[in-house]
Amino acid sequence: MQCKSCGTELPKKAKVCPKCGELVGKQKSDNLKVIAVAGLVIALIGGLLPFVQNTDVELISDAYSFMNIDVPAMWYLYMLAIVVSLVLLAVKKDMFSIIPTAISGIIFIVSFVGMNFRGYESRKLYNLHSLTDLLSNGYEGSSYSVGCGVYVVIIGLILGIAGCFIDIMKYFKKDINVDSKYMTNSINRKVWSKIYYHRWFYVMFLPVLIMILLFNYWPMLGCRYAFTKYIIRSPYYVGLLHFNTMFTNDVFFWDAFRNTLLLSIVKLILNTGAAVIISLLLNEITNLAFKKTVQTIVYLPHFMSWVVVASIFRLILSVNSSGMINQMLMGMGVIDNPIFFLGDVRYWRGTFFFINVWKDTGWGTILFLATLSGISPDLYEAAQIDGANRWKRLIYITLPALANTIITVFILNLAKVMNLFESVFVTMNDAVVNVSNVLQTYVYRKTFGSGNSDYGYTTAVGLFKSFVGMILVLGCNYASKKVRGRGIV
Amino acid sequence: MKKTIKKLTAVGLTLTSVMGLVACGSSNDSNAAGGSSSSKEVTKPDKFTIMCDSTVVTETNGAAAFYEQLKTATGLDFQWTRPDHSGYYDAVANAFNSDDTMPDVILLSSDYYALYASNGFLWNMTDAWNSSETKKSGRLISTADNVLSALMVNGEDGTKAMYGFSPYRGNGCCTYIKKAWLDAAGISTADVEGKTLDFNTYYGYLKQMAANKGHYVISAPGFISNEAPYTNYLPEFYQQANYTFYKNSSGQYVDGFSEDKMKEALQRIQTAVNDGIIDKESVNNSTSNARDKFYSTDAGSESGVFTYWAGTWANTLKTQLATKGLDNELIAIKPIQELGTYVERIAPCWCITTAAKNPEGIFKYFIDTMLDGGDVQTLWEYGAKGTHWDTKAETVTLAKDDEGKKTKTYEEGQFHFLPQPESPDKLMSKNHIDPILALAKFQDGKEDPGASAMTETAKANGDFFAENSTVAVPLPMTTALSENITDINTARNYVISQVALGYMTVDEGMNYYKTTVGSLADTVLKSLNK
Repeated sequence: MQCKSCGTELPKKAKVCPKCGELVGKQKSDNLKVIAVAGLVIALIGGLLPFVQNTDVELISDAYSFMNIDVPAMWYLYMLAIVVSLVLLAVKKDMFSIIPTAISGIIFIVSFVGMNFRGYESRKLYNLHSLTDLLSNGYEGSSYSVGCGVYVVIIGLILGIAGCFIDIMKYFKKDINVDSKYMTNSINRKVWSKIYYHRWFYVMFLPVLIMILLFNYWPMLGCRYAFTKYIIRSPYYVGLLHFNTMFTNDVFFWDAFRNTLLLSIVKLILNTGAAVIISLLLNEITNLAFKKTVQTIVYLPHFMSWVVVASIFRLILSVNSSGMINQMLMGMGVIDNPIFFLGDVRYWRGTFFFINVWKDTGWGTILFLATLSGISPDLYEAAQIDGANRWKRLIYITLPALANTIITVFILNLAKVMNLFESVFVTMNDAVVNVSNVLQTYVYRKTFGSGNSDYGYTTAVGLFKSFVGMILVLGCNYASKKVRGRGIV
Repeated sequence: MKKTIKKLTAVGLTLTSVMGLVACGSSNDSNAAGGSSSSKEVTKPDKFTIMCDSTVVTETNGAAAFYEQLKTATGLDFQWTRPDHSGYYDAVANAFNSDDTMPDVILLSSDYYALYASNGFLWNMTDAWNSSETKKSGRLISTADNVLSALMVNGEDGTKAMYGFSPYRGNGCCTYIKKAWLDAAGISTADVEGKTLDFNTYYGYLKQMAANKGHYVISAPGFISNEAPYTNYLPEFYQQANYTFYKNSSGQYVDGFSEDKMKEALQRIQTAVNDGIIDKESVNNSTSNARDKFYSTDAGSESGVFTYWAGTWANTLKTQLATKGLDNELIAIKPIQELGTYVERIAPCWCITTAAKNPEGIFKYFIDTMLDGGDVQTLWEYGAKGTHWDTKAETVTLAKDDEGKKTKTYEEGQFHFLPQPESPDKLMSKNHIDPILALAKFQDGKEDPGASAMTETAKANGDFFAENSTVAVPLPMTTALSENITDINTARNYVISQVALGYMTVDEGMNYYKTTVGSLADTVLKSLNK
């Protein structure tokens, strides 16, 4: 038998190559087991979904999961076991991670078969049920079926274990064909020794880590309220009730979803397009003083608060005598009666886009102007010598040079389309709510619109919004890789 | 092996903290809901906590002196929690999330009051109130019973009881007309002032004023208000129409919005907008926009009729008009015939939570003393002597750099307000209880020390409103109501705006309402009539 690294003939039963020190036998993988990680995350989510569910759709809130188990410690132990598995996977102890994964499976089975679950009738009033009993005998005339949580947990745990044996990452890695002994120390070291070696960098990073954990990750734990009827101090589990209501019964949810996508995407296209055009025009200006002045003027609206911008436009677009635009249009004979730009559903969207372009186009030009200034003047000179006029130079030199930046800006902004709030909130009113209500304003109204804020439902809407946002980010990342050769996350 | 143990220990520690986070808020509270106050001997409470918004003098405006003097006057030991005014109800919600943070005493607006009472977090003070010194004193104003009966709401078990006490009336809006506009339109003041007009006459006057000025007369803060009693900014147009659910004469809850009275009201508003009486921009107006238009010196955007808060605001409106150099004579008209009375909102109230160890004691020594008709009431109405007001002989200087100094000299024994600690260019005007709205008078022989500082306009208007108003009836909180009311109100407001602006007919609006949220309204009605 020969050493895979240096080709030296190895003695029988040798564990390491006597010449290069390479381990004999199966090469250990250093890759993160993506399938196992995904499986464990799925199993973690499965713990929030219903294990047993009332078969009557009207009683969808009559559901049982870890979240209303009579002994919550079982849920915590289940999550603990999965988190331990994830940590072990993170430190490349794949085989060890199977043990806690298996333990979480056992906890799940014990909980399902041997524990009681609470069926809430109100904040404090509940009955204890055994899930197996509910499935076989039902309760008060209702029949029950196995909920999606069971399938999700089982699939997750199977993937969590099976994934430890599958290394899909290796197919995406190029073999560098270099003997490991010639690699840098950093690559050869183990995780803990690497951390120790760079310990001071980690210490410097610690405040940021704490801040991120505290302000970004801690609040995420609140997403469990999406599965609860939120009553102060005593939220109780209602399974997928809120998601069911949101997708099938909510009057304004789909309007808000449609408005969010429509307003955001059209705004993005218009803002990017306007910024490109203005950048190209600014690039053609040769008088530097004039160019700087124009740049300053177009940047200024970006620094104004949306509240101020809304007040200004409300004033100049007013239907009363103070409305400059309407007075002007009527004076010119274009219209007979004033147009209610911000109070008529036919005009509100157009006005909203116009205000956005006015406010943010200038700021958007910065990146394009920076790219334009980087184009070699030699190219223009050469084209000029070849007889290319301004238009041809724009088409064949400027735009191709700018294309990559346009796509980058577009992709980066596409990931943010679900976060539309302030600009809409300050310009909307009751008369145009059907075309202006976006997911964020919808959640805001639902949360603060009445004394009894339905935090459970609005968390479910927020979770859905985040899910769509995540898909957009991943989609953009994929598009970015295709277009630019590298991702944005 | 040792390394593995270390790693596992580290993982264990990390997970412990994760479990700690996850476990937050998962506790199942088993505290009993607030039981009724009993008749056992009431002792003075030990130190207790109070949470309130900035309607009580703020920390930056001399609250320390107020706390100190209140402590001396009542002999109580308390600790105050004063969240930021704009985020007050977020702080309240957070405070109720745990027994450790729940205050003993809390100030709540009507919506939150009903919510927390129905969730069983508030102590039932009905018996305590019935045997209280204030109730027995005979100093309560004539409308006190109406105000306090509105505080009877459903508790966790569904029984109606008093879970909070309000020491002042909720106040409401009345309609002010600029005398200068009446004069300019050739309308005699005598035809309006003190008269109960009917809608046609009132509308006729509005039309005359609009014709005279060439533009709208009323610019309201929205075609509908976003809090109860909702119709209070255009009461003459809504008249008897109910915006939301209410109990009708046969004791059944009905949806006021889908009734004929609302259809008629919407038609009146549409006609008024179409006739140029009501400003179309009302849909965009905030309260400050609407006020600015009432004070406006621009003849093109000035409004002449404004339905706004009574009492102290009557004086503020006059002062602002005078400051802008406009004629400041205002006529507060009586409610028109079809309206009957103005509506008074339900006042914010002081509640004792189930976290309080000695609720009877807190009620007796803290809440019941707010209207003691003496020193404590003075503190709640005017603030701390020497910090917010005084009676000693002195010259009070209002300082403002750009406007120079304004001074006024007072004699010994003359009540006067002092400059606000946080804004020395403005005088204090009141503390938590507006003297005009207080539910109880001062004791015989103990005159209200600040009565002389009250402006005649504010006092007269406060009395006028009290005579011409009824208190709003609270809506009981049900699960179906709290889950659906935002969507229902969104549809209602959309219909009102669309009809008012002429984009929908009344029938189209009502059809839209029925098709979008009709089933939700039915669900709510079902829950209310259960």
